[in-house]
Amino acid sequence: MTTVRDEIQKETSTVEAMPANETETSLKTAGAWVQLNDIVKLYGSTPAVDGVSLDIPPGQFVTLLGASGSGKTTLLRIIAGFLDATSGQIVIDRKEISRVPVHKRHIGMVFQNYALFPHMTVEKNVAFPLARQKVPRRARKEMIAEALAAVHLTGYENRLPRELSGGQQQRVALARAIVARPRLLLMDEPLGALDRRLRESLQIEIRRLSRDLGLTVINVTHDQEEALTMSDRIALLADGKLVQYGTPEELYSNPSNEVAARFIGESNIFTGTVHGSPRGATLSTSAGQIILPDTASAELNGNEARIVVRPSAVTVVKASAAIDQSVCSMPGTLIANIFAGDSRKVVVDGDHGSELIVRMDASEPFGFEVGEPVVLTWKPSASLAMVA
Amino acid sequence: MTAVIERDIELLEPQPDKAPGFLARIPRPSFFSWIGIPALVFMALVFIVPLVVILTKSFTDPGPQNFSDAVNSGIFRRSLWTTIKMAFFVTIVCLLVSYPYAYAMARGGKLIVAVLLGALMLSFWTSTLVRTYAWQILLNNTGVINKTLINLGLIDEPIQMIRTNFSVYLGMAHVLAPFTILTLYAQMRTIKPELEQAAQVMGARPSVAFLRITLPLSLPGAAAGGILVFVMALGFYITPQILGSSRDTYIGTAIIQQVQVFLKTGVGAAESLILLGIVLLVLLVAGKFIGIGRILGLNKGE
Repeated sequence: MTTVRDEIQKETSTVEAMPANETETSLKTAGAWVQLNDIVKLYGSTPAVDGVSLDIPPGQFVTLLGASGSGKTTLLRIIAGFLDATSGQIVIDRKEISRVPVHKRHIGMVFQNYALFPHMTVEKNVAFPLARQKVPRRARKEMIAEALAAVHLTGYENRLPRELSGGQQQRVALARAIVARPRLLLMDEPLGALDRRLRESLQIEIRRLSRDLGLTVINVTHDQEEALTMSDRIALLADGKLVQYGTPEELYSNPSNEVAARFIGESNIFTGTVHGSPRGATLSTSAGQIILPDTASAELNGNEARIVVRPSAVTVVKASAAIDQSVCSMPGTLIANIFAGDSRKVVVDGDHGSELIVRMDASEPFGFEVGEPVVLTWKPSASLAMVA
Repeated sequence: MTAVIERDIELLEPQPDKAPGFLARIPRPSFFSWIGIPALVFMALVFIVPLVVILTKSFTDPGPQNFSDAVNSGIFRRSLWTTIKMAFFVTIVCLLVSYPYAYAMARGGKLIVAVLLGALMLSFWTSTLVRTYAWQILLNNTGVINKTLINLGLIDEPIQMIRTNFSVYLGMAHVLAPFTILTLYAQMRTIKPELEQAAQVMGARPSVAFLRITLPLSLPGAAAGGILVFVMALGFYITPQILGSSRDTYIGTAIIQQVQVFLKTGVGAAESLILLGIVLLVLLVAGKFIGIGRILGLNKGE
């Protein structure tokens, strides 16, 4: 744990050392340092959150990623103070805040459906946190203008929320969340209700804003693409437990277990028993022998293990092609060839019952027919072995 | 992306009227609206026909002087004032009682909502007459409340509760509160709980969040429920008659008197029409501000 924290802090300091961004604004704050210690939330005897500990260094953008029912929203609501944890501590800047009521936590939050006050204009909405936090009247005007400028909504002060489009409402919610300069911003599926194009542009914008302002952000989403795009770190949750906490690259290239591998990106997963020495060990599966990567731990020997192969690491060759014995191969029948713009997704029905996915560059020629027998090959080093 | 936003704005702007011909603007009834025909016929028979009869009587039995007779009747004028005052106070009591009730129903847990809704429905399903007599049993000089207080030695003489304004307001509020509860509840259901949470996250104490967010957003429902109850209270007969003092005459009683005691059906009819006129006027004015559909619960309060 300490090593992880040290490493995180090291990285944070490099983040902080980055040159200031283009937006010069007084909205800038030092982000909060958030620590969650063994948070448990029970409903009856069922845990919604089951012993989650997270260390979120100042200024980081962390995404709580998980399917519905994974406990990510519950966890966010506990941090905001809408729910009390059954046990565990929430420490913000070394202060335990579990007993602090919601309105004294000084947190910014963007709600899933924006939660804009329908009877107030954009300006009144954004002024609300300032008025509640006793910001002098004279200072408010400028702070509101600055917050609206940060989300590119200058000139919309006197509109009512219902006169705005979804994306604009989202921006107002964002302006309202940052106007009082919170050091921690919580976002509950902030882009869920928007269409794809708007979502993507807002992802970039929110990321830019959070970096410019320097605040710590905890974002909840079930969308792995959003998590990969926006986050410094992703906390992957499943069934209330923390599955893996790391950078998007780590989660993608080095998933700690099958759950992580399945959730982040597409995966071909094989299960079997490991035989042989660490070097050149193989996994005996119902689909045949698979060579383990050199990096596989010696402890796997003789045990049940899984091998994860990303679709982009797999190559399709003709069934008649000669195959190098040092690469893994798996025969099958090509059952689908899906053109997806920048990539081509190929689905192959393995001869032993499994369905395998291959991703390839769409610009490369594709010389196979649906229904044709093919062989899939990949380098052992491109795969990942883990305990089953 | 700016293009996307601009397009969104464009959609929000009102589309210019194409100015169709007058006939084209009358919506053609859809197939499904024919289902409403039997109900329309029924309403015509049981409502419009008697109304026409009353209208005719008021002008012809014996003549239009019915209206001047009605207006010149001291009893009727006093009853107008008594009734409007009663309706006003009943509305206030209804709103005060209903607001927390409706709020609890809109925000409470399953159990609380079930209990509150059950009590409400029970009250709805019980006849007004029975509920009014129940109050009489409670409030009589020899009623449950007075007897209990005397037996406890707290009072020597029974407190006069029956046949006072107090008993009328109480009984009327009891009978009419379900209507304000339901309109307020309908309105509060449209206020998302996240709005209060958002207010709290932004630094508002729960009481401030309520005052700044929930209360203003629920006011249209309160206004609608208040108007509905006010209008209904104006025409109430049974409850003021049973619980009220014989010295206070309410409109309903005044009309009955004209018909049954003075045998002046025409004047009674004129008085009914004046009452109807007052009700329509209230609805018209209120409808201007909060929309008639909202008062009658036809549209979702938004």
